[in-house]
Parts: sequence; structure tokens; C-alpha cells
Amino acid sequence: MAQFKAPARKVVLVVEDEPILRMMAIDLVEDAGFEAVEARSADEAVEILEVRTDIRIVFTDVDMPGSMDGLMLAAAIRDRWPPIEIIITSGHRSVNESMIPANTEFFSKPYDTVKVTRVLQRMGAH
Amino acid sequence: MSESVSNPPGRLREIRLSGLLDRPGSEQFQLLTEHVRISLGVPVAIISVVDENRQVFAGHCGLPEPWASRGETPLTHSFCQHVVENAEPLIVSDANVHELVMRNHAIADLGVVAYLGVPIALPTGELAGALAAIDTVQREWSERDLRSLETLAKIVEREISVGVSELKYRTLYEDMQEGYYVAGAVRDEGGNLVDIRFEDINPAFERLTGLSKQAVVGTCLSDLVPTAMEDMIPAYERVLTSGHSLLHSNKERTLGRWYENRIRKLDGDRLASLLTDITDRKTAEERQDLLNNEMSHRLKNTFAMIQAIASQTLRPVEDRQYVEAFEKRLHTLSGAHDILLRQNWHSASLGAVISASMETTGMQARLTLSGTDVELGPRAALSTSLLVHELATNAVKYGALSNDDGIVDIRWSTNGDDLSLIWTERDGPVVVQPTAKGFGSKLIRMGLVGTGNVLLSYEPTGFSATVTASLKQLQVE
Repeated sequence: MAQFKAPARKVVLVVEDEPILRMMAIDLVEDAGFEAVEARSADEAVEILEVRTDIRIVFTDVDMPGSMDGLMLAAAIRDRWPPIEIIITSGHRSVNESMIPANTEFFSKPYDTVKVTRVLQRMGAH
Repeated sequence: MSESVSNPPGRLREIRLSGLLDRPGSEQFQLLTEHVRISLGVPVAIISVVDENRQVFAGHCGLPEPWASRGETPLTHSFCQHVVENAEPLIVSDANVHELVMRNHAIADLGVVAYLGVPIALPTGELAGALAAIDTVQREWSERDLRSLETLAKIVEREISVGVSELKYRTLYEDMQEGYYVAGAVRDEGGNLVDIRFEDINPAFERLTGLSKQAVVGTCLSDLVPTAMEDMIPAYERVLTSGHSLLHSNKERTLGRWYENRIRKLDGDRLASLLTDITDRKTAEERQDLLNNEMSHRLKNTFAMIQAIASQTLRPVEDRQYVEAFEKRLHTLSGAHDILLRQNWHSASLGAVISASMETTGMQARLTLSGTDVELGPRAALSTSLLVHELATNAVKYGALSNDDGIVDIRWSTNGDDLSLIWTERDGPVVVQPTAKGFGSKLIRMGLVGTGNVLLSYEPTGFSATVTASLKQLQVE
């Protein structure tokens, strides 16, 4: 690992339990010019966030197995790693607005890859 | 002598329903028999109701004991049965020599000698019995006696009909499945409704709420079910203020049930309401909603999977515009499903379908939508969304949405069974009729319901499309 060299690309953590959807999300993130790191659950995402300090954006699904779902993950990130930007996506028609932390983007599934790319790039720009 | 009265079908049933057999000693009937006694100058007057094997006195005056206390006699003692049987007055001057009644026990046991009886009918037309004047000595009845008795019989009939209708409503009130309550308004000094006080409830109300009549009547809602106050008081106030009836559902937390109140205003700042327990219906609706949500969720995940498979499969494709076109059509379809699921897959409003289909353009500010409310069936909702999406895509690529200030106007109207939708583009670049005959243009030419009826116009000032379809076809389930 290039520990002593800052990564050339900003890092996005993709959290999605469904492999095919995760694959697509990783491609989307990489095509948008980021480095993708993957997690299959919110718990795994927290483990990664605890050791990697270079993650700028978390792109997460809501419904996942494990001790917490994507909304709880988002809340935990706001609490423990406030600078990290969050994108949430879900197959539910509507997610209770009050459950979504501030400064978080929500996309209903299937999401518009062009719009998600645009948001990723905006978040990565600062 | 006949053993029993011949009964036209339904007569006995109507008598029993009338309640006349269960209400001995109505004061009104008592007074009427008293009046017969005085005006005809006889010692005995009766209003008899002729049942299957007995006659019951709805009113009587001057009868000897034990008949007076019993209030009825067997038919062996009844002259009145003949009035019912023949459906005409019975005039007997001397029972001892009258063929029809000479062997009747009333002669010996009740001392009947002269008898004048006229029929009494129920509101339904069946004969209930007779109003009769009785003398213990021989008597020639005059025409005036008969007329007088017949007039009084009309009053008896009127009285019976009032009683029957009262009974009908009381029975309805007592037996109905719906709870019913009457309550008076309780207002503060400023005249604001602050509470209601119960005046009357029916047995069904007790059953539905588990509250006894004793506990409810005279008690205020705030003491009885404080948790219902916040929800119910504004509803009562609306009814009392407007005078209009109101259907109001509320979930009563204390009782843990859903109720539907059909509230209406009564006179004197009072109200009445029908109360139905709709917990089962609500539970079923909630279950249905849950099911729809779950179905929607799965459907959207499936769309997401199709999107992911396509994106992985088509990754090597160099010309990305086709991949993007596919993804956007998939989105449009998913959006239309969303709208349909909001209304349990029955229908979707045309305006909502158009808005959703235009969303991918991200240029909602440059659109104007106008038209009456039209509901589309599931099939038309899906095909319409694809059509609108293609028109929007073309507008973004070549039409009014391809420059900085072009606009799109979408309006629709109905005329009888016809719906016509007009898409007009303005202030875009100069229009050129396209040559390509791709899938997009095929989708457009299919029209709203797949039957065509699309008119495309490539005027230099702007592209326009007029699409028509029958409402009937648009609303096919």
C-alpha cells in the first residue's frame, strides 16, 4: 500500500449487500473519477471507516442485513466522521425525511447514474 | 261458530310487528273507549286486536272482571273476530237471536246482548281488530251510532299508525348494528366548543365501545374518553357551525379501535352520530398498504438489478448514447410504476405521469403543464410515460430544450370520450424534420395507448405533436 503517498484519486466507500448492484455502483464511482472501496454491510463499512482515514464520500444502500441499516450508518457517520459526505439510495418509495441526516443526498432506486455522477463530482470538488 | 278467524297471509305477522299485542292499556285508547261509552250511551266499549286464538284489548272501558284485569279473552268470547273476518261492521241488536253469535260465550260470561263493531286497520291495510260498543240489554243501533263509531275508529287507526312508526324507529334504534349517540354541546364563556355531554346512546354503542349506558349518559366526553378530545371536538364544532353532516374516522387510543362517526347537527346546539367500528377494515387497508409497499420495494429493486445487469453487460459498448437511452427508458417505466403503486395499481393521474416522465430532463422550469384531471389505467400510464419521455428526449437533443431559452407547453383536454394532448415547442433552434426511424420515433408513433393517432408537425417555429385517444381505452384496467 502506498502509505506515504497521498492517493491520486479521492476515495468513495460503496456500501451495498447485493453484489450486482454493488458492481454497478463501483463502476459508476470509478467512471466518475474516484477510487472505490466496497463494503457488504453497514457494520463492515464502520470497520473500514475506523481504519481508513482517506474516505471522503460514503455511497450507501438502506436495506442491508446486519446490526444496522444504511440510515443508521449515515447517522453514525454524521456523529463520528462529520466531514464525510453521504449519498443514500433505497428501493423504498420514500424514506422518512427525518431519518436522513443533514447534508445527505437521497436517490430512489433505480437511480439515474448521470445524476448520481453529478452529485459525486460536486461532493468531490471540495 | 268458527274456531278461529281466517287470516289472510301476513295479517298475524303484521299485528305482532305492530306491537299492539304487547302494549296493553295505552292511555289514548283508554280515553277513546271512554268516549265511545259516553257518546253512544253504552256501558262497555272495547278496542280489540284479534290474534290467532284470542282477542287482546288495546283499550277497554266497563268490562266485568276477570276480563278487565286480564285484558284479553279467548276467541270463544269474541264478536270482534267476525268484524275482521267479514271486513265490515257487525250490528247485533240481540245476540240471543242473532245467527252468527247466538252461541258465543261472551253472552253468558260478559253479559253481551247488543253489539256494534267496526273494523280497525293497520297502516299496512291488514285488519287488526274492531272498535266496539257493547250493551247488556237489547238495543237498536242507529245510523248515527254507526257513523260515530266509524269516525272514532279512524282516530284509533291514526293512533295505531303513530305507534307503529314510533315502534319501528325505536326497534331500529335498539336493534341496529351501528352505535348511535345524541350529545349536547358544552361551550366556554367565549362560545367555543370545549366538550360534549352524552344524552342518549343505543345498545350497539355500548357493545362497540364497551361503555355502559349508565356510565355514558350525562357524562362528558372529556371524562369518558379524554384521548378522543383532540380529534373529535374540532369535527363536532365543524358540524355544529356549518350544519353539514360529516363522516369522520378516528383511531381511539384508549379503546384501541378505529371508529367511523357520521355526525349531524340536531336542534338546540346538539348533535347525533352513527358510530361504526371499522377496525377490521382499517387493519385490512393497513395490511394492503404494507403489501403494496413491499411489492413496490421489490419491483424497484428488480428495476435496479436490470439496470445493473444492463450496465455491466453493455460496458464494452463504445457508443454510450444507446446505453444511456436504455437506462432512461427504464427509469421512465420505473417512475410510472411508482405513480401507479401510489394508488394501489388502479390508476395514475395524467399530470403526475407527464411530470414524472419529464423529470429526467431536469428542465422542469421550462415546461408548462395544463389540463383537467384525467385518470389513466395501468397500461395507458406505462405507454404514456414512454411516449412523453421520448418527446422530452428529442426536445433535449434537437428541440426547444436543446438551447438556453426554448420552452415546452403541454396541454390536454377532453371532449366526450376523446382526450387530446398537445405538445408544443417554442423558441428552440430551427426545426429540421428528422430522418432517423429509431425505436424512439416508433414509441412516439404508437401514441398514448399503442393505437397511433399521433400528428407530428415540424413547423420552423417549433415542433408540435397532437396525440388523441379514447378515454375508455386510457382507463382500461
